[in-house]
Amino acid sequence: MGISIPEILTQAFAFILLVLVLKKFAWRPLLKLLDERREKIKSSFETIESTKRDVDALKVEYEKRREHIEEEARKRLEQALEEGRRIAREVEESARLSARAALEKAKQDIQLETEKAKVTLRNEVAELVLFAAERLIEKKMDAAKDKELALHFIKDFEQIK
Amino acid sequence: MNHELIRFAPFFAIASGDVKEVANWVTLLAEYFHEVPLVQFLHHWENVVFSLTAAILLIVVSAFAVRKSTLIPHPLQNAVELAVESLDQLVAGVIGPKGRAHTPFIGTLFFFILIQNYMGLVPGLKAPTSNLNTTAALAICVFFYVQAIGIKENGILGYFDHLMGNPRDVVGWILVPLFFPLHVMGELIKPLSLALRLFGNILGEDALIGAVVALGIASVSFIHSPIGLPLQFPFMLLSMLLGAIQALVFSLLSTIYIALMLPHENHAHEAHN
Repeated sequence: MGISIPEILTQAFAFILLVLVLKKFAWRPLLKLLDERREKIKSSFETIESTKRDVDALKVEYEKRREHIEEEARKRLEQALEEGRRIAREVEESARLSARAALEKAKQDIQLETEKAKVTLRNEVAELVLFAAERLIEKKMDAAKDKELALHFIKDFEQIK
Repeated sequence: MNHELIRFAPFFAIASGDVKEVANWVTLLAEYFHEVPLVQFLHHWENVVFSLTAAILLIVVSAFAVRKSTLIPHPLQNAVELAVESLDQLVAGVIGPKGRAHTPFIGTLFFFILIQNYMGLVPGLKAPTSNLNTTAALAICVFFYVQAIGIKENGILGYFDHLMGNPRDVVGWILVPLFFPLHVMGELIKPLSLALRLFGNILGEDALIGAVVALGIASVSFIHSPIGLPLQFPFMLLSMLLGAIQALVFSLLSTIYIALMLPHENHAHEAHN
């Protein structure tokens, strides 16, 4: 079959050289590059997963905050309403008290004025009676004059009234 | 018809023992300039010349693939990386996590054999693997590599323990005189079978193509046609398939031989995993 030991040795030597050359200059760089790419892809996927988890967590937190904010807003609105109602009640109460006080004061003023008017009237009536009595005493001469005097007196009285 | 075959002899046939292959540029030179010493030298070292051609082609392609390698690969880098990664996975799949260390050897073996096999299909070239010296050289390299790995991984005592069949009891030690020669013979037969299988298959393919080329030329020789019918075309497609299969078989068997030589605990552990 044409076996040639020198040829076999030459071929074997050439192959060993080829393995060594390719191992150093081709296989190692290529396998290293493949590993690097594999690691990069793996880390990229891990980063994506991690980011996705962060986004999910943020979303949950956002939802919580949104719910919290809504709850807070509702509470504040209720508080404001309650405050408004309270203020309205206070204003109403105050107004009622003021009105009552004014009414009381008016009543007192009316009472006072009435009393004053009564006193004044009594004094005037007394004066009138005294005046009339003085006139009666001074001018009692005849019946006609009495009558005239009385009429005059009534007229004065009406004028005074 | 014999006269016509003789007329076209330089174009299709050379003597390779008793088997005729398609002619290549070295045999053509030898046919016309057989007196020139350089041509005689080339003709004598014909298979080495074509093996070196394959090696140079492999180195050039690797250099182009690696020269500007980036994380985002260019087309050639992409193709080479695909092949490298496939082989790496194949080796790691057979041997396990330690397989990565053997990927350069097995990978070079595969691509070197593949290119040599396909060279038989290129006009003017020949497949060096159709010669037993080439395949024997590769098989011897595998043999020494496997034995070296066995000694390195098992230690010298572990290596001989492996060759004796790992005797652990009385029966095992009694059977050592039987197992030791059997294992030694097995280790020697492995490269022999590798070499003969590859050589036989590739020589058979090339001989078939050579015979069909001769038939194609002979079939139109009566009209003195300068070219023959391309009857070999379907066989070339078949050769492409078989060339890849033979390269894979050689590499895969070498990988298995390495795996078998590794400490058995590793296999059990990996199998368990």
